[in-house]
Amino acid sequence: MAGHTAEHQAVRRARALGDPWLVALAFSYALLLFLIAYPLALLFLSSVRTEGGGWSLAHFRDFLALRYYRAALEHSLYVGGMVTLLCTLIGVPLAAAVARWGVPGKVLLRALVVLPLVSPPFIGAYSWILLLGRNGWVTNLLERLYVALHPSAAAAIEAGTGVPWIGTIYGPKGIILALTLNLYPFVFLMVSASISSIDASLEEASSNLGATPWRTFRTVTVPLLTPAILGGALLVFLHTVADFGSPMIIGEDYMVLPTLIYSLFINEMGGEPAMAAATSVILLACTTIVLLIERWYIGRRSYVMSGLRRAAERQVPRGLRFLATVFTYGVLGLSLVPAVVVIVTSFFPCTGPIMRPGFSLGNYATVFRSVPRAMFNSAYLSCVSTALCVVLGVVIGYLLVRRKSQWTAGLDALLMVPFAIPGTVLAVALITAFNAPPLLLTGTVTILIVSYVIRRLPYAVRGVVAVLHHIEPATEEASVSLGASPWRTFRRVTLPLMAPGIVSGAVMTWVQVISEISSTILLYYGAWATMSVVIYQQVISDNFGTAAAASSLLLAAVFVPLLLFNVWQGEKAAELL
Amino acid sequence: MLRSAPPRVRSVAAFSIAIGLCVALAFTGCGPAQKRPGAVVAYAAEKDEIIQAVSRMWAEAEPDIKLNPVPAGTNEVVQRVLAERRRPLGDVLWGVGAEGPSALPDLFQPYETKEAKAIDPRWTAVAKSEPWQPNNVVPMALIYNTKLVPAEKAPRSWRDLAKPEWKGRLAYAAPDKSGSAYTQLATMVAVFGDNEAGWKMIEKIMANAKILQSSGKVPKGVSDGEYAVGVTYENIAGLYVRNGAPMKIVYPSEGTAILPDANALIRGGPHPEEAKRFLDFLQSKPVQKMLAEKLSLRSCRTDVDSPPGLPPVDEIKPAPGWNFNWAVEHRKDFLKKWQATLLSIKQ
Repeated sequence: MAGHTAEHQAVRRARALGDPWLVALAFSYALLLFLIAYPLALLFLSSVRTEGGGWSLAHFRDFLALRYYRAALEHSLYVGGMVTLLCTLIGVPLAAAVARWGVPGKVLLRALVVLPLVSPPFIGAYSWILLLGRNGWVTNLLERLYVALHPSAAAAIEAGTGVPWIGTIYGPKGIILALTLNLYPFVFLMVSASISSIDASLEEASSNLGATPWRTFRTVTVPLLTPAILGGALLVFLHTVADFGSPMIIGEDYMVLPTLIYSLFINEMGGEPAMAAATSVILLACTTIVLLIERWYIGRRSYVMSGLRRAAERQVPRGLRFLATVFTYGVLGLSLVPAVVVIVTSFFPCTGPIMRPGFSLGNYATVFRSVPRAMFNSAYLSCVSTALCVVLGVVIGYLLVRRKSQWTAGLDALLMVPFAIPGTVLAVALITAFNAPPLLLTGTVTILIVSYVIRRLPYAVRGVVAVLHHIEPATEEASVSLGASPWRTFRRVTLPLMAPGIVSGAVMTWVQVISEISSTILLYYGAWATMSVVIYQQVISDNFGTAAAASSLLLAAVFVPLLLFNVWQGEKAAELL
Repeated sequence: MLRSAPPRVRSVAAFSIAIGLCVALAFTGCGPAQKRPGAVVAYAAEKDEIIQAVSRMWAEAEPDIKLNPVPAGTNEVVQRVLAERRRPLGDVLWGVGAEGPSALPDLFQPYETKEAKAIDPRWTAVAKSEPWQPNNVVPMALIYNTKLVPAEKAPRSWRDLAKPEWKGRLAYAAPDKSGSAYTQLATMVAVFGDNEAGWKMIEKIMANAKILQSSGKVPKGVSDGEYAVGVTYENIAGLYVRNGAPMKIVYPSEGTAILPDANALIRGGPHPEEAKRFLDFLQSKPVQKMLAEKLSLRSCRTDVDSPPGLPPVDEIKPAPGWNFNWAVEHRKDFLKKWQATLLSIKQ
C-alpha cells in the first residue's frame, strides 16, 4: 500500500470541510432512522405498553429460563453456522472455478447459478419433500435398494425409520440441505465480483515463483478475497437465522427463532407481542455480534491493490479443469433440483390438491388469469426497488469503507436490523408507523417499495463494500489532486471500479425482491398482488399444480433477463457478474 | 480547492436530484387508498376456488359494488386488521377462524345479518354476543392414508391416537400457530379431562405426533403418504378426498368439536354499508347452496342440505364438555400445559 504523503493528507483535510459525503451520511442516517428505527421502536414500545410495566427484563429471563425458547436459539445458531460454513466451502471454489479454472459454458452458467436464490414461497421446500420425504421418490428408491441388500431390515423400513445413515429429510438436516443449496449463490456472486477486481500481477508473481495453481489460490487469491468471502458468509448467516419458510416446511418440530417469533407475534388471536419483541431483540443481538466480528476481522488488514489490470483466464492444467467442471456442474445441478421438480410437476394434470403423472397445460391455463398483471407488478416493483437499493447501496457502501468511523459503524448496524426481524413482523411495524400521519403509506404501492428497499438494501451495500476494499484510496486522491471535484472523481474513477460489486449487489437485490412474500402478504392490496402472492395464494388453497406453474413462470422471469444480459454483455459479463 | 466550490454545489445538487428521482419513482402509482364508492374490500382467508365462485355470483347480484378480495392466511388477515386499526383499510374478514374476532372484539363491529333467522340456532347462539357471523360449519376430524393403513386398523377415536403403532406417523399442527389445531387440542382436553390423567393421555398422543408448523400441511402430508394418520378438519380433508386422495375421514367416537368459521365486519372500515350487504350475501341461500353442492362446504343454514358425500351434521357426535367460549377462555392455560407436555416428552 502506498505511503500517505503530507500532500495526500492535506487534500483529505481540505476535502473534509463541506464534504458532500457528510451530507450523504446525514441523509442515510435520517432515512434509515425514519424507515427502520422509527417503526420498530413504535412496535416494540407498544408491545411493552400493552403488557403494562416498562422494559423489564422479565421477558428475557423467561426466554433464557424456558427450554422451549432456549432450544430455538440453539437450533438457529447451529443451523446458521452449518449453512454458512457449507455455503462458503461451496461458493468460494465455485467462483474460482468459473472465473479462473476454465469451466466451459459460462454464459449459461452465470445465469443459472442465480436461480437457486429464487425460492418461490414454499414450493422449493416442498420439492425436497417430494424427493426425500418419508414417501419421496428418492427415498422409496433407496429403501427398495436397501431392503434388497438387507432383507432383514424390511420391517424397520416399513415402520418408517428410513434408511440407516440417511433417515428422513425432516429436521435440521433438511433445513441445512435446503438452505445451503438455496443460498450459496450469495457467496458465489460476492466472490465472483471481487475475483475480477484482483490485480493479476499478484497471482502471476506467485506462479512465476513456482507455486502450483492450488497454492496460489490458497495463499494469494483467498486472502485477497477475504472481504468478499466474509461479506457473502455474513449474508448467508443473516439470511439463514432469519429464514422462516424452510424450517416451517421441513423443520417439522425443530423450532428455530423465526418460527418462534412468528407464532408469538403473528397469531389470529393477537399473539404475545412483548415476548415476540424480546425474542426479536435476542435474534438482533446475535446478528449484530456476527456483523461486528466480521467488521473487526476485515478491519485488521488492508486488501487494496494499486494495479487495475484484470486477470485473463490462463491455461490451467487439464486435471484441474476437469475437476472444476465436474464440481461446478455437480453443485449447480444439485441446487437446481427444486427448480426442476417445480417445472416438471407444473405439467402434471391436477385436480384440486392431487397431482397425477402425465402431461397437461391445465395448470398454466388456470393460473393465466392472474399472471399478466402479477408479472407486471413483480417486474415493476423489483426494478424500482433494485434501482433505489443500488443508489443507496453505492452511497452507503462508499461511506462504510471510505469514511469509516463510529458513525458509519452505527449506520452499518442499523442497516442490518431488518435482517433480524422476520418480514411479517417488519410489515406490521411499517403498517403501525405509516398508517397515520406524518406519512400515510398503507394501501399504496409505496409501502411495498419501502419494505423491499429496507429489507434488501444490505445486499446492495455488501456487494459494493466487498469490491471497494480492493480499490486504493490513492487512485481517487490522485484524481482529486489533479483538480477533479469529489463528485467527478466518484463518477469517473470510483464508480467504474465498483461496477462489478454494484452489479452483483443489484442481482442479489433483484432476485430477492422478486420472490419476497412474508412482508408482501401483509402490505399488498388488490391491484398490487405480485407473482409471489399468486403462488402463495395457490399454495394456501392447496392447488399445488397451479402453484408450481406460477413458480415456473417466475423462474423464467428471472432466468430470461439474466441470460439475455449475459449474452449481450458477452465476455464483459464475466467481469461484471 | 477554491475552484472546486461550484462543482461541489453541483455535485450535491446532482446527488439530491438522483435521490429525488428515485423517491418520485417509488411514489408513482401511490394514489388514494381503496376508498372508492361502490366497493367492498374483503380480507379473505378462503381458498381460491371459493373466492372465484363467490365473486362471480356477487358480480351478478350486485353489479354496482365491486368486490376487492385480498386473499391471505387466517393469521395474516387478522394481523392486517390489527396493524391497521388506527385507519382500517379493509371492510370485512371472510372465512376466518371464529377465535380471532372473538379474541379481538375492539376491532370488529357486531352485526346481525338479514339472514339471521335462517341460520341454525346452534351457530347463532355461539355467535350471538360475539362480533362475527357464522359462515360454514366445520367439524374437526381424523384422517388416515388408505395405502398405509388398512381400514380395520384405522383409528376410530381420539384415544386410538395414543396407540404405539402411530409413533412418528401422526401429523398434528402446532396449536399455538393454528386456530383449528387449538380447537383440536381443546377437544382432546374436553374428551380426556383437564386433569392429570387427561393430560397424561394427551402426552401419549403428542409423543406419537409430528408437530407441523401449519394446519394445511396435515392433509397434504397424509395424502402424500408422509404420515399415516392426521388430525385435521372436515372441509379441507373433504377437498382431498373429493379429488381422489388415498385418504378417509373419521369422526372420533368420543365426539368432536363442531363449530362455524366466521365472517366479521371490521370496525371503522371504509365501506360499512357495502360491507353489510356482502355479509348478508355470504349467508344467503344461493351462495350457501352453491358452496355446499360445488365445494362441499357445510352450510350454517337450516334450509341447505349437507354436501353430497358427507354425513348430515346431526349424525356427527359433538364432543361432550367442549364449547366455543370455554375453549377461547382457556386458551393460554391449555397452550402452556401443551408446551410443558412437549418438553417433558423430549426429556
